[in-house]
Amino acid sequence: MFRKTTLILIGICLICFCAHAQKGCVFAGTVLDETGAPVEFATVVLERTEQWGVADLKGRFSINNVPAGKNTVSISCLGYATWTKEIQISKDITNFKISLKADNLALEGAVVTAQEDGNSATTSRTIDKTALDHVQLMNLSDISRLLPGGATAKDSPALTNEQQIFLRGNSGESGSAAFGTAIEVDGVRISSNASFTNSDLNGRTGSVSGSTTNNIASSNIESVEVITGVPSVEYGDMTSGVVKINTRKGKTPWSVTMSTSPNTKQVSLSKGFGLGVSAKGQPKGVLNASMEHTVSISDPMSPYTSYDRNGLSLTYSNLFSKGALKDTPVRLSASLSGNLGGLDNQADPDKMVGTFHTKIDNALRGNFSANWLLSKKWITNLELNASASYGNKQDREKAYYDKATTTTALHAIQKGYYMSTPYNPDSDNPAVLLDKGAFYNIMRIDDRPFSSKVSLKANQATSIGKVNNKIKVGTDWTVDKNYGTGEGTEDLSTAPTYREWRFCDVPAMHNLGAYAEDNLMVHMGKDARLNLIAGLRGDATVIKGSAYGTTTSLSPRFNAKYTAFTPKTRKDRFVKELSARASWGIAVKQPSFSVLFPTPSYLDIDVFTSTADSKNVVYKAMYVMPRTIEYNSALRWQRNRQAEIGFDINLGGTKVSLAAFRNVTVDAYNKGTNYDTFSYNLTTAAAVQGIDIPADDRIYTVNPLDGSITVSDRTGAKPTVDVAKNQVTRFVAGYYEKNDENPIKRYGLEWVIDFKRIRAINTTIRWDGSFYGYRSVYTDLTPYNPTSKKDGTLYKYIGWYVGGMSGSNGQETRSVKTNITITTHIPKVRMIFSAKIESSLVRYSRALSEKADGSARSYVVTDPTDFSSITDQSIYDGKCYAVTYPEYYSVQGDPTLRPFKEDYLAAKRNNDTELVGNLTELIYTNTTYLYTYLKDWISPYFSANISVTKEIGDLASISFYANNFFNNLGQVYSTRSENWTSVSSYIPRFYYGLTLRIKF
Amino acid sequence: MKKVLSIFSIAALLFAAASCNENNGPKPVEITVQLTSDNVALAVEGIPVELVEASGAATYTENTDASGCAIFKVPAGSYSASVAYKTVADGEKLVYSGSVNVIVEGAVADPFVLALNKVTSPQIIIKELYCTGCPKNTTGNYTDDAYIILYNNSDVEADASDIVISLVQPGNGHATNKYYVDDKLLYENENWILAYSAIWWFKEQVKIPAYSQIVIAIFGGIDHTQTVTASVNLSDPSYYWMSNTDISTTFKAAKYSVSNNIPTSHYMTTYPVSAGTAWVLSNNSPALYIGKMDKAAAEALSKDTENYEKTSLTNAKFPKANVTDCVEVWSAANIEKSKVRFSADLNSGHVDLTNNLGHSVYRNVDKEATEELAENAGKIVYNYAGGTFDAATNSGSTDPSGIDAEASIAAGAHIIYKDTNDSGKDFHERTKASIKK
Repeated sequence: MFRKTTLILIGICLICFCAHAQKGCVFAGTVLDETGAPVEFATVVLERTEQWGVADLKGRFSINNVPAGKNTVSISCLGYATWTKEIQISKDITNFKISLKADNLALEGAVVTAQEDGNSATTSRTIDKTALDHVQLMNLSDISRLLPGGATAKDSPALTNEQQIFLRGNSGESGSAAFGTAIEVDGVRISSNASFTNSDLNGRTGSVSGSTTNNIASSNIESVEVITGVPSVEYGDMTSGVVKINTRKGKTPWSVTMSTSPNTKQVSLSKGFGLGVSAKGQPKGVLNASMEHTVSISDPMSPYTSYDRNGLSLTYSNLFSKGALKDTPVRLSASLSGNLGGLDNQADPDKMVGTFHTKIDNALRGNFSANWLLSKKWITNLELNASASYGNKQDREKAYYDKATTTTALHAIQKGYYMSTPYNPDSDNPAVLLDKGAFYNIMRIDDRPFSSKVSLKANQATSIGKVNNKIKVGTDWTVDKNYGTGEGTEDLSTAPTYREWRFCDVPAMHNLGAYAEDNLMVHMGKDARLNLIAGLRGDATVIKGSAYGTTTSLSPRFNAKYTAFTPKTRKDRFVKELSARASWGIAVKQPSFSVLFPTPSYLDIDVFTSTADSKNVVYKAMYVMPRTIEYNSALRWQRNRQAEIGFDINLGGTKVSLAAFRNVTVDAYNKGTNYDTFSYNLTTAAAVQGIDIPADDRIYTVNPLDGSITVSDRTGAKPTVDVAKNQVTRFVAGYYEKNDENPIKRYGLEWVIDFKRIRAINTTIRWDGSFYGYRSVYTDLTPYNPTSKKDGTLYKYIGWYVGGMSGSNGQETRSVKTNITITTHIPKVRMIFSAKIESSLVRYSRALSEKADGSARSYVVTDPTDFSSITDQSIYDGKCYAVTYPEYYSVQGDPTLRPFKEDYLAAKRNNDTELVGNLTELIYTNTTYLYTYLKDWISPYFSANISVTKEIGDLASISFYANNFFNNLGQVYSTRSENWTSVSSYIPRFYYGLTLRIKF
Repeated sequence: MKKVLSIFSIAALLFAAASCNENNGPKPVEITVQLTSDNVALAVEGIPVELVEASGAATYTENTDASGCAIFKVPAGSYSASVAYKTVADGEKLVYSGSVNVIVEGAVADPFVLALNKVTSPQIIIKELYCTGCPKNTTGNYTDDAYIILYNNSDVEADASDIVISLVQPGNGHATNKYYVDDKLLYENENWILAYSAIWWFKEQVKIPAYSQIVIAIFGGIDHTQTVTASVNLSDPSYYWMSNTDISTTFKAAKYSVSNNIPTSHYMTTYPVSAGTAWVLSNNSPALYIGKMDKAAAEALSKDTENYEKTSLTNAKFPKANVTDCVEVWSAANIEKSKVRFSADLNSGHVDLTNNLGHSVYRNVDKEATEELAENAGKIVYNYAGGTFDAATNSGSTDPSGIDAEASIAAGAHIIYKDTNDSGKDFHERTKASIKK
């Protein structure tokens, strides 16, 4: 498979490199500002040919070997509004002059909403600095509110909870959309692949989770691009979309930002330093430095649990275009950013004295990028990127223990019986007898995920008549590795039960990706054009030293866009713009380490507890059975089949953008269970109570092989006693990572309507919204054993359930959310005001219980106390008591799967009380609530936010926002529970914030 | 049917009376007083019957024979025959009392019938419930040290082997009570009450001497004072323990241990009614009762899911006829939200408990009955100060008898506790667990 993929890619590369380029012209000029001063480091890009230049100290730029013909020149620089124009290049142009306007609220075009990328063949939106400042972004995840139908998060802008971005999905869904969302900061992928700690010491589950955005500094973000459609094959290891964060690069004045809200305080400082020119006339480049300090508390009433973010970012960029590089300049960028901080509740007086829980969330990210403009016939640009991200996540919790008797903490990792013994610093201490009374212990998780990526990309742009063709080929190599020592304690003598699990012993995951993409643009007629993009990405994931070995995957992607009109040529026409696009593609998500290497678990069975002696010393014997980590060598990488169609229309100045999508996740990562039987020996406390050895003189020992308990007299006065034991046979569960058999379906429609600006009042109105649907039914045949019956006897039956032992095995949701944003922008006073009404018009969910073919898995019972009184009525038909039968059952020692329903009903008819009793234990009963499977429609609800930003000359600007400023405390109605509940569960609380920015 | 029974009863009564009065002679006149209870002859030998001449000049006392007749030979005249008799039978205390006027005129052929009023009360009662825990030495509260004291409230040794212990749902008195329908308990007029979570029974025979007690450790049967000085020592060899060693792994909480001092014969056991992880005794406001039921019957009742109350399937239906004593505890901090959980025929009223301070609910002394016992002369200690009643705030409660029961017991007195089936009158909040010396 891998060999075939490689051959295909090499073939595509050869085709690409054989393409021909046009004869070159020179495109040179000067970039000035409104005062006539040169704009150093302004970037000039010829979009059709992907050639570029950078303005020098005098604002001069030069691009050589530009093919003759139409081209689109785009000039941008930090602090200035981007200037774009289509030009005709038929000969050398050496005196192109352009005056850039400062990017501020004096400009007519300032916007505070996400803007559609009209040139993209898939759904892509950009949120620029003005919009980010206006909403006073504190956590990157808050950008979701600026997307169509996006709502302000309920606890925004809290940093004390781990925040993630769910593109075209919601939290709590199968096949986590956050896990499939790729986040890149200046090209550095913020990956959760190498991290083991999705939650914390108390809730580490081993399930997949997206990258948290809490430790990404927000004040230095220049723009965010969000690709929710089918992205370029350049992007691998993602299934839901891409969030690209661009930080500030370029020469800028000092900028100080101070923000305050009831929960969060932030101060930041940044500056873009021009480093001047060397003696040889070579610019020394620009250095951007940024510092940010943010403190977020979880509760203003008890401001002790806080998340600190101390971000530092340094970015150096320069252009080398002198000497040998005169015709083939190299743009170089290197950045280093990091964060020191994390969560801390050490000072919280509400917590037990002396206890704390800290989560250090430090990060260090580096990136090197070199873009070499070759402008050859066979290659235009060659781009080398190398990046690395290192996280230092230290979860440290000091807990208080207070025990009336001694207790036992297990650390054994080998199978066998263990008797607790007092801590001995010279032993392995497999079972430590912990002292009674009060004591503290500190547990920690040392998680140090490291991800690196090296990529090489070449592109070649050709323009033949009305046809532009861009070919992109590239390869990338990523390495994910964890250097943490895993879970441990700072004092083994007081540590609770835990087992060492060294993350650093887990092998690295290498991924080699290669891709090729052809982007064809055919200009038809005056303004029409057809854009076709086809790409193929191949990935080979190599995990040496594990059962996974090498896994390959292919990701073909296609985009097509036809633009019938653009406003440029239809100024006086009602239909000013019309374009349609369609995309289809497959995206693959690599597994994270928590998927590949689940935390080893152990079955610890209490096989003996002694009676307490006069000092309340209680010994325990435990049987430890390591649960085998079954590396599932057949594990397939989770992938998404994405399809999308979209339209952009401009009707008389009103812009309408529509995008309909359907994403199907297949082979979602999940955890499987299997059962095996084993026997162990059990001894009760009652068996030792009457032994003729004083309790205080007893020495308890356990045979490590058969669990026999022996009591001896430490004084030697009494003979040793062998205690009677009972053999118990039971099932033991093992876990392994697997792929879901059922697809997870997501679909939706997103719309953005920007009504024509009402010039008289400088106001624009946007109506955006989204319809979103989700359906997932987990249908894998899943075993479950109840372990023991109520009377303590061990249960010998296993139920085999479609989708697990639960009342429902799936869920469907649908929602319609819309926002109306009214923005009044008064350039003359440099002020912008926006009011946004966020509404949920439809919020629907329903618990599902069905098999893969849609047939019944749960049954309505006429008598909630008789689980055999099932009827043909559908559980979806109304209120009902319901029971869920396993599809099959098996008996200890006999793996034959027997049909449950038939056998159970027959046993009931035949009055086989023993079998009925046993099988009844396997039935999931839902006889408390009548409404489990009812449709739940939540009545519409609303919330209103306002934001205002005012610039005071070029010196300062101030922003204020109030979320839910009407302080909506209303109620919503649930058709399922037939109850009214507070809307506060769905909308943000009344909240406000203020930001002051000063430039000098 | 009732009429037929009545006729038979009267016939039997007359027959019984006739059978013990066949040889009446002239003066002094021999008269017979036949004792009856519930319209049938009280055929108990040895009940003293007192006959007092109307002027009070003469008093005669005779014991009944096996048929319940007391035979007197007295001069003609006007008398009053009376009985005040206490006894114990089948684990119940019985008090018979009544009087009748007797006119003796020459030969008296028919016996005089003295219909007695019968009052029953259980022999074994809940003397104390300690469940709310106490402050730890460091910070926080400790609640693993609950216990119950069962007391023999009679002068006859009691057999507690068939005593069972259970709870009524909801666990907390102030929790939402789904068994109220139209502001009335669902089982108010039923012949059963909820047995919530579990019914505990003794594994072996248990005897409680007269005016004595047994202590049952509910969670940890250990000396809790070793780590929590405000707690209690529950490791005494005479104590009993609600064992978790032979119960479902899902029902027991592994943290509970038992001292080696407590013999296995003192381990109680159960079969969980609900599939919870532990017996859900509230640490602030339980409704607890004891009853009489054979072990096998208690186990069968617990396992008979068909007999479970259907609302939540976490309660067995326990026959009210088997309930012998109850205590309804409300959390002092949640009085207004609390509702009674016992039906009126079992218990009325409630005793309030302040949480987490080491307090207990303790039975009030039946002052009159206790003082009546001749052997208590000079042994009763008064001026009880162990209650929580605060006159300034009119809060808390105390024993209105003023008798310091524990001090009196220590002085050798026999205490008889009140039993009016009203937790508000029968119990008070004690500032310190009684076993905490």
